[in-house]
Amino acid sequence: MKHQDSPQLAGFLANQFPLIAFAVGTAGLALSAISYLVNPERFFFSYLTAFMFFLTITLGALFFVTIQNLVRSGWSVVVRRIPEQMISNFGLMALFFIPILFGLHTLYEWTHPAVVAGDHLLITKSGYLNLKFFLIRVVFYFSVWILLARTYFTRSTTQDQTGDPTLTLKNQTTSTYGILLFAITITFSAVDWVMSLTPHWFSTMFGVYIFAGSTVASLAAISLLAMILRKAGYLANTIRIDHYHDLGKLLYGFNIFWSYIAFSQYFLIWYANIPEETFWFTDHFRGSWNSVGILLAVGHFGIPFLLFMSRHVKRNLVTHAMMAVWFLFIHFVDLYWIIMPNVSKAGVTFAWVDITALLGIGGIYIGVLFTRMKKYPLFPVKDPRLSDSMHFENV
Amino acid sequence: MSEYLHPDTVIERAPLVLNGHGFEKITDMVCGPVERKAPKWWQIAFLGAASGALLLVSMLGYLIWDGIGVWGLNNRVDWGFDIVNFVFWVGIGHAGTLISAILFLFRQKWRMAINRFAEAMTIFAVICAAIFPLMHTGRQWMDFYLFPIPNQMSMWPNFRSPLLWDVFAVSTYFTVSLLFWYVGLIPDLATIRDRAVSKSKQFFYGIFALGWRGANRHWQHYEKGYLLLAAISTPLVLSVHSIVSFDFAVAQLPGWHTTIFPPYFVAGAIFSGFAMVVTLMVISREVFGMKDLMTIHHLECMNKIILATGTMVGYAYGMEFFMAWYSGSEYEAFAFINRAIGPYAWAYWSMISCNVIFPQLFWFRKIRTSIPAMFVISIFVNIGMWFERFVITVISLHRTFLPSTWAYYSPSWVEICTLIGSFGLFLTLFLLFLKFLPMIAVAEVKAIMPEADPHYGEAH
Repeated sequence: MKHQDSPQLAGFLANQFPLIAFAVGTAGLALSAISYLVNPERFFFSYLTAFMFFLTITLGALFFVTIQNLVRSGWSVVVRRIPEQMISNFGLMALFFIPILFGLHTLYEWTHPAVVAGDHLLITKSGYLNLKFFLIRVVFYFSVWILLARTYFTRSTTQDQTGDPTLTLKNQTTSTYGILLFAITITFSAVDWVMSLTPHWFSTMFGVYIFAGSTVASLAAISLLAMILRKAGYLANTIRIDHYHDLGKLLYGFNIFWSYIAFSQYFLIWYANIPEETFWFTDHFRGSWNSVGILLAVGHFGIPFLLFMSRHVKRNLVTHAMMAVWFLFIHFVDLYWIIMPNVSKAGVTFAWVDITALLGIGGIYIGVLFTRMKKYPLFPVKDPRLSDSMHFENV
Repeated sequence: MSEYLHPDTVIERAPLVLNGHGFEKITDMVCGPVERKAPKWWQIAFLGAASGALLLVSMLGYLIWDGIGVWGLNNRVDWGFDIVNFVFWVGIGHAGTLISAILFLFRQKWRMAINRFAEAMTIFAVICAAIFPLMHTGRQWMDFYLFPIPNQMSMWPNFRSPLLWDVFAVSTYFTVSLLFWYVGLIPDLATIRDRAVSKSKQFFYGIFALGWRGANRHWQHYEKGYLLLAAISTPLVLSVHSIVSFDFAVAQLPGWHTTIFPPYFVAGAIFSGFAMVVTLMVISREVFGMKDLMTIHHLECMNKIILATGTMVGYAYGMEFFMAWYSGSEYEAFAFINRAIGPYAWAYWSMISCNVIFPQLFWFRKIRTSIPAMFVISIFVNIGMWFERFVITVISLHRTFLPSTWAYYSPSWVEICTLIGSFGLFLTLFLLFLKFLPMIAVAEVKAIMPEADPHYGEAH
């Protein structure tokens, strides 16, 4: 008989690790702040990329929690606390959005009335792309995300104490309209924060594209976090190889979905060859950006498609972890390729703020995550479907 | 039925076989219709359906004899019912593979009672679909040029044309679906062979059962083969309708060219396919007395998928409209305003109400578990999805960049009769399936019953 895992995080991961993360994060943010003094334009674009990286991972986690509740999933119960913890970081992400508010004029040309006045297209769009409505939407997105996350998290952690099964049903009910709110907010936040960087460009697929990337990255992050906990001696008999296998299958499937969406978007614009749309890709293939585009095709689709197909790779935690790290890396490359050509127009240029902004937001994100993790059990200890999940076998 | 606990109100999973039937009873229930003489209603229905199929054949004969001019197409609207019906039928054919492949990979046990049924529909729907592009070429005797066949004139199809990709996509889809369906049928064909009393039945079912003996090794190969076919079919669920959507989306025509088309078409296809499965399942479970195997829970799960995919379709409509405005392109904007208030507004609003408004009633548990309500809504969805293809094809075409070319398209009686006839063919094939093949995967349903658990009946 295997012993029951301790649901309580303690020791290094609970105490020293968040401090290290906070230290890295603070240093990263401080260095980024210095870079702002050197080159504010570069700073804002790099910062937005890093922000979107962690935001999309958190959004993917929100999708995971919502969909698992919605479909009354059994297998995923033991995994679910990790994304539940991740979505509780939406408040933090809202704080991280504040610097972007100061950079709106740098990032988004449509915020300049003078530019808009001389541009017929921007005048047409100003009913949507105007500062006031933009800020209202920012508040709306974050309110929806924070409220949904709090609702799921509070019910799930209350159940840890009371064991009340109706809380599971209540979360199921929330997930029904939750999935609608999620679809609307992720679409329009993608339009607002990323697509409107190039305000003349438009693509009906864009929201789906960002959603697909988010899901891939967040599944990779969930797997990695579970493995970090496992390495430290937690959840080894709770999140078993069978669960990693399932996470891997979802990750693999969603990665093909990303490839499908990315290809379709590119392909349809290439084929129709209408200048109003193609200019976006021309800009994003200019100079050395072309190589980044190829890296995405090979690295986001080709390599994982071949390497991660096998059952053995998904069930071997070393190879699984390597692939998960790769997925996170390539997701960052994806966002970098979408956002950075707006500032580094001739080709790829590296600036240390690209890295420090990522470390800055990431350090604080992980620090807050692990600080909260020690306050709550690491898996939903009294979930009515816990036994389903513990005993499930992946044949 | 009072013991039936609704799964949304309890944590327990709903039972998939009601009233505690044993293995033998289930075999009897499913094999019964195949073994008994065809009932009166079946004979009447078959006669009706076969007359419809005959109508199709005569309309196609007339078309080949007289030429495409018998259709109502004009210079401006050169794609009409032919393409609309093609996309409609291909869409209907999407439920089968989704249920058999994707729901299989997602370990959805409720699929077991309906997959056979849905896969059969897939195959018949693809057959109906294939007729239209083959016929609309005009010179149907040259259709073999659709395939890249080496010839002395070095004439090749245009490899950059999505219409050629359709040829490959649809034929691949058909082949894999047929294989999938057939592989799943083998154990059940063997069951019927073993139960058959007449020599001819033993012989024919015996041939198609491929010598299945239900040995351990047979089952091992079967399970592995089934899993592999499921994995192969999964991308096909997306690829076929994505390529169909390319037929439109690679063009520069406002209303056709938009990047969301591939996933939007796939969602729409699953939406319409599931609606058709619900329509036919509601009738079949009634007349064949299969209510304990195709339970309300099964239907409710289907309705939830209809709600989900219907909402995705609504999302795509919304995105198209939003981007038509956001793009700032007056042609895009006109195409969409013309849909809503132009001469074909009736078609547009039929589509919106059938696809976006009525399926939203499935949010209410009372409605998604009510047989009459789901029957009516599923028919609405079928109509709505037909209109969606009409809206995309015809409304986008009838008013394009050059106002002097604008025209109105009305189908001729030949086109209408061809559409009716295609339903005749579909139902003919479907009725033959109901009569000669087990409509439920007997072996698979047994495998998901609690009794199939090796630990069933042991104390915990």
